[in-house]
Amino acid sequence: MSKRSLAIIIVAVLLVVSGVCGYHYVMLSGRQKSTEPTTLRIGTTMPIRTDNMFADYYFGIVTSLSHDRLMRLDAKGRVIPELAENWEVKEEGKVWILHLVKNATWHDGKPLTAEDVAFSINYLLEKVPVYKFHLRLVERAEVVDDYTVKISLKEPWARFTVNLLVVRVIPKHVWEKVDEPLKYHGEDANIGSGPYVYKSFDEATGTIVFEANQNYRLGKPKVDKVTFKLYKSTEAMIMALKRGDIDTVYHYARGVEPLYVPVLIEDPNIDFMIKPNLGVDNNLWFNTKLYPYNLTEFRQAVSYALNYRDYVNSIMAGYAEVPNAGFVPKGWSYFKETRKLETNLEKACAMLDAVGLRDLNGDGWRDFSNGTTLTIPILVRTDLPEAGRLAELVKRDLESVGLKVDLIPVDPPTFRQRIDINKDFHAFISRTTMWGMMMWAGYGTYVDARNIGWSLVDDKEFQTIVDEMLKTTSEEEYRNLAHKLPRPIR
Amino acid sequence: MPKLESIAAKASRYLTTVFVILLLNFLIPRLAPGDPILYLLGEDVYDVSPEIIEELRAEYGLDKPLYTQFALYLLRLLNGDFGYSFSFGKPILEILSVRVPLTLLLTVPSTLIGILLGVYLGAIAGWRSHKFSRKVLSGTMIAVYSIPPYWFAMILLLIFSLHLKLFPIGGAPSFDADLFDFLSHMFLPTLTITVFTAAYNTLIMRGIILGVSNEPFIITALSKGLRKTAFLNRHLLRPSLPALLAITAIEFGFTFSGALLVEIAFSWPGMGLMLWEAVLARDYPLIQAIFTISSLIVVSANLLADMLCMVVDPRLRSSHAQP
Repeated sequence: MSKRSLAIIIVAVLLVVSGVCGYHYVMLSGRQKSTEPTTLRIGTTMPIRTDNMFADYYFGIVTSLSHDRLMRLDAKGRVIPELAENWEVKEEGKVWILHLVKNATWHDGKPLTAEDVAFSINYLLEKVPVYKFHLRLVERAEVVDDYTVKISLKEPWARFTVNLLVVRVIPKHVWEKVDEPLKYHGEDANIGSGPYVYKSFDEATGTIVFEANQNYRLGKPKVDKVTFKLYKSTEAMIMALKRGDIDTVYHYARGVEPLYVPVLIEDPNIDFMIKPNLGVDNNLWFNTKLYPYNLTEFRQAVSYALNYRDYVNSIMAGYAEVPNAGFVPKGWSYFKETRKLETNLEKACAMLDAVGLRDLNGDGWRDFSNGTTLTIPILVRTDLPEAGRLAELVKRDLESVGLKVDLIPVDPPTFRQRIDINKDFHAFISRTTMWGMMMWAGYGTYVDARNIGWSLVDDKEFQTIVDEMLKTTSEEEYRNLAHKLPRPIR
Repeated sequence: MPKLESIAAKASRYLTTVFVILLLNFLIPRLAPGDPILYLLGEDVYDVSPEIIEELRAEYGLDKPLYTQFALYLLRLLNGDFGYSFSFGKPILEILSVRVPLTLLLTVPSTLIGILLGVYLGAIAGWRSHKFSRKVLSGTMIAVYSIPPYWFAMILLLIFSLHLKLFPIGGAPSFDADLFDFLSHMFLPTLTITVFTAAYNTLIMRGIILGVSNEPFIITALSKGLRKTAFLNRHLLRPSLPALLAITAIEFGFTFSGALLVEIAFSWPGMGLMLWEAVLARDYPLIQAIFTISSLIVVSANLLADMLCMVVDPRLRSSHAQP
């Protein structure tokens, strides 16, 4: 490839590159002459281990190239048709009728029909663990005619399309013979209906190859070949990008780490796209079941103690802005302008004094009323590059107002165990993905104790709003409810 | 027959060691917080009902009591079956068939060269260590050994791959690569491991030589006016061999388990990287398999070293030297 056409996605790009939106990030690259065979070489640090899309979460993400979905997201985060060219919602969201495109075929030439779609939904629900979550409200999927599928739900679910975004439509003629999909590695295991045909995964060289589907229903893709090159360190990947070994980089729900931007920005061969993050890169979460984190005043005091401007510069290399109060990030249509978060140590101290957290023994740390020191153990994910650095700054800031902090690094399995199963944490630093911000009740999902519920909120007013969000099929009403959502918990 | 008794005693000690290792390899991953089932569900799945988790646990045999799981693990192991990896979705033997050759390709040459170089440099640095040039050599090796391997690897990549464009930036060579491609992929990672192995062995060998250089037999040998080479080989190196063999055995044992930081830096899919990935996925069968094989190799290498020591050191053959 003589001329590199590079697209570096800075800081926070989740929308166009997230696994739920299919292959369209390929379009980020494309300055090659149309007459030459073109290859897009993508570097990634995603830990892809095997070419089974059900056993390997990250391989599943790259199969967005080979597997069309029923629907996908456009660049603005709206659900738009893909294999399902339109759909009807009946019985107030309990029955969904999908009308499929009529010209889709599998990579082996067989036609893709409603049989395949109904089979996919029922099969995935029954045999693939992750879909027991994604499709948990599905009762069954049935074929109405060759190109129509009826999906019956156990209860009304207005936002079911968000879950359908992640459904892999798989060929019935291949998978009906497979009883254990997580263990299947047959040559036909990655037959899809998408614009690229899966060719190979060379574990030694860390290279995954897709080639253009000559018979794709929307025409042959402009890029003839797409390769993923696996790197185990970001530093090596960035060097490969600068050297021209790869054309762009990609990681699910992450852009380029901001601290690498100054190294890349001076390279004339590298172009950038700066996109808003529709997830939230770094959040400090509290367990609101525990005192004093259950106090709104305490959490607000913490908010006033944090030096957001410093985080923007030190952690995000300036590619960020101080957020607003609330948890809907800018960029979503449901975003509502609220007060800008600010640092005010005096106010933070006054609020902490007011809730009874004072330094009683003169050691510099704030104490509970019984004299024991309040120590906030903050779990920090070791798999998120910025989390460790941010945690140090958060510790510095909270300690500046007398709140003692104990940082506890945790690897992903420990994090999941502590946060999702044991729920025995006090506070932690993590991020939200764009898709996570869309599923179930959108932004409320991460907060509501009945779902992901990281902050374990079971406030009745909050949950009533969430319930209304789950029921409504009106975008306007959904937006109004989303605006109300942060109010009960501030 | 003191020799046979000695071997039998050692063998029984090693068998006990192997059993304890198998038990620990089985228990330690399970005692760590985290759940392989959560890994299988992926990053975006958080709210999973306990019923689903239990169902999956049963599917992978994790619902059985620990002693049953351990017994099954031993039974499978006796049949040469390491089980099935959750995170790879493949039989472990199949995964190892790719990763082991890649690991040995990287670690065996670098360990071998590193040991030979280290022994030679260590002997030089240890003999007449008061000389300035020997002090510089020792100081250099301490400095090299103190460098973080990952940082060193990155510097090599920066200079030789990014700026001079002499070597590829990452990945192992393909199994059907030509010789040039093969060697160019191997050069920098092999160099990195060699440098650190050589530095380590230099320091160890220097210590051993320092230990024997004041022995009366050394002074006698010197007073006989032996040539330098003969003196080094027969009088200085030979008494150092038992200690050296023990260290070499351990090092070769660890060649199988790879070199994690170097593998990360060079994106080399070896055993070190696989162990790290297995731990992050809490892939119990895979963790067990890697630890078990590594441990068995270390134990076997130690057993071999013990026997070789008896060959090279007549003092260990006497009945007074029984363990």
